[in-house]
Amino acid sequence: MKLPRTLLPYAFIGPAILFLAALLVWPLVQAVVLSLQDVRSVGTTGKWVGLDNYREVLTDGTFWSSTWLSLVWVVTNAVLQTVLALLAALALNQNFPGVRIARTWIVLTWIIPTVVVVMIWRWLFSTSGGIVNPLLIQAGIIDRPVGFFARPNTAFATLVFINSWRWFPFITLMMLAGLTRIPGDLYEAARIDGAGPWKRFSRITWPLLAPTLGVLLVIGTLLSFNVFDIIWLMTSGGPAGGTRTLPVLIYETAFKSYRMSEAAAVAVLATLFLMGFAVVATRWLARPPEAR
Amino acid sequence: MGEVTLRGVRKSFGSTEVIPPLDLSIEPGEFVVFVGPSGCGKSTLLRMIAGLESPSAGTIEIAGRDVTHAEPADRGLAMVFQTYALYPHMTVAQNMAFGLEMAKVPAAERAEAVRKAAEILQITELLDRKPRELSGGQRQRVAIGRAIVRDPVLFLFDEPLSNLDAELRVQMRLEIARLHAGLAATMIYVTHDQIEAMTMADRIVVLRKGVIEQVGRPTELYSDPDNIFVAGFIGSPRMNFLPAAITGQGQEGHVLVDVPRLGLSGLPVPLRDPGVRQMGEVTLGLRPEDFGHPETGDRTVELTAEVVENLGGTAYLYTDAGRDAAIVAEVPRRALPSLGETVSFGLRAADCFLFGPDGKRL
Repeated sequence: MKLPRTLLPYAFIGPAILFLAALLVWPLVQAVVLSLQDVRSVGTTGKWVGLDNYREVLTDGTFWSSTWLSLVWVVTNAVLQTVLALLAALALNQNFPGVRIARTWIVLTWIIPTVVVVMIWRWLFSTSGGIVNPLLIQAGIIDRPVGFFARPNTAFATLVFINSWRWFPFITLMMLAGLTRIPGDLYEAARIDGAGPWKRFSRITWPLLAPTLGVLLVIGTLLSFNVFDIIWLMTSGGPAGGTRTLPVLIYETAFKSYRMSEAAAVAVLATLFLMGFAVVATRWLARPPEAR
Repeated sequence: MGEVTLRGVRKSFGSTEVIPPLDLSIEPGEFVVFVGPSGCGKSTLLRMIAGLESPSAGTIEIAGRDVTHAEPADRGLAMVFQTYALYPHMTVAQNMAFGLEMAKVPAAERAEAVRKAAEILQITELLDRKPRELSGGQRQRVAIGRAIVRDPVLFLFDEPLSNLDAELRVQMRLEIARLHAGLAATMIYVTHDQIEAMTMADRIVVLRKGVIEQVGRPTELYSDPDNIFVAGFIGSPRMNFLPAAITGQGQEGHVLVDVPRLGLSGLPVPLRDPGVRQMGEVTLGLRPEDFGHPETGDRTVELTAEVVENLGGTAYLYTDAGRDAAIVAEVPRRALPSLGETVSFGLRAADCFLFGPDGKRL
């Protein structure tokens, strides 16, 4: 049998589309269906309630405070990770003895299992036996031990720090790839043109790294929005909901409060936020650099 | 003005010495070409003059000022790179004005300087474009324009034409020569292409393994090379080198030479230094273009045409083609030999060079 020429391309991409549909679209459709029913726990069925769950969620203060926390979480993580990664990438892009070893070892924090990361930092930040408090006291920054996970603000800030510490090496490697793509003779030409270290960074490195940073910002935002493991293992969303970002809220609603359909509604709303962000971001990235 | 003086300049990377101590003086307004094979240290030398590499020892003076430890921007020079090194995110005008901007020259003056340079190089219509929208030749012009704008006392060129196609290379060669005549600035030009060196230079510096083998005007290097390396490097196709033996002393400072491969014996060859007393094994050098009409020379030699390369304007006959010791002779294009044909040439003893076992000219 011979396919008409116009159908041939569809025959090639058809299997991939089906594969993606089975893995991505089907669970999404299931979640949407679930959010329109009244299911309490996994495996049970519930009656059709239309948009009731959404009305419930959107009028609940917890949802909005979690959304706000997620937004702050994403922005603070993006800023901290970008700054840490940029500094590390600029340092690792230099030639100094041991730079190759440093480039290899920087990925260490990224390959340690999350549970181990949590154990290490819990111990470091603990008020009894941890070394962070004594160090801060010695440096004169605080005068008595601080319970980092005892108050919402410090717990949130500490989690931002730990999450950024875990993920910045990944961003560093991507930035390093972007930096090594900038030809060395541009810097030599700039030196002859009289540009000092700051001008070389601001007028050459930064504009040429900007496209890479844009991509990283999008990937980083999507990745950190969905972070659940570190937060749950560290604080379980507490204290007093101070670290209850949307993923934590979804988990709590589904598996602690046994309101599966409401959790599905929150998940669908979170997905819509992210999709909106992804659409805007990818369109922005697709534009030529000077039009951004 | 832009004279350059190198005194005892040496460069080593770790324990590897790439340039042993070296002295060189370049006159103001001179066009000097550093030429040599890859890895001969010519680019390293240029980069030390530019300030992009610091010498391990010695001093560098530009325009009478010791700049050995000065920043590149403080040396009053401009450099054109092999890869052009244009800032990809800036327009042509911004690229050209960048140096002046760094020197805090007012915007109006910058624009005027860019406009003037663009007119000289005929790139005015390109000023608003980005480098990626330009052809290789246009990029090269912009790179040169960026150098001109800074009004330097010294221009440095690091193999600027090697990324261009043959036709464009010839065109840019002429343009750089015209520019040199117009600007009267000192120019140092690095290339591995001896044709560029021969056609552009006031003086050529031939380098090998970081050592200056000879400095001189192009015609001097061609007609009076100091050693076998310079003799082989300057001229295209390269000089033929044939095993020979000095068998005795002739008259007027000549020696008698046997050249078995050409079937010659007792050829009276003049010595550069008639006082030299040398006997035995030597190397005889003879340029392909010095194989003349059989009736014109002192002796006649016969060569068998194994390969004939016809370049249109001229042609070359190869005997023992493809071997290390192939003999190449220029033949008139109107008398192209056929393959396997034996051709007679006239050979003038005065055109022959003799080199001792150490490679030095005798």
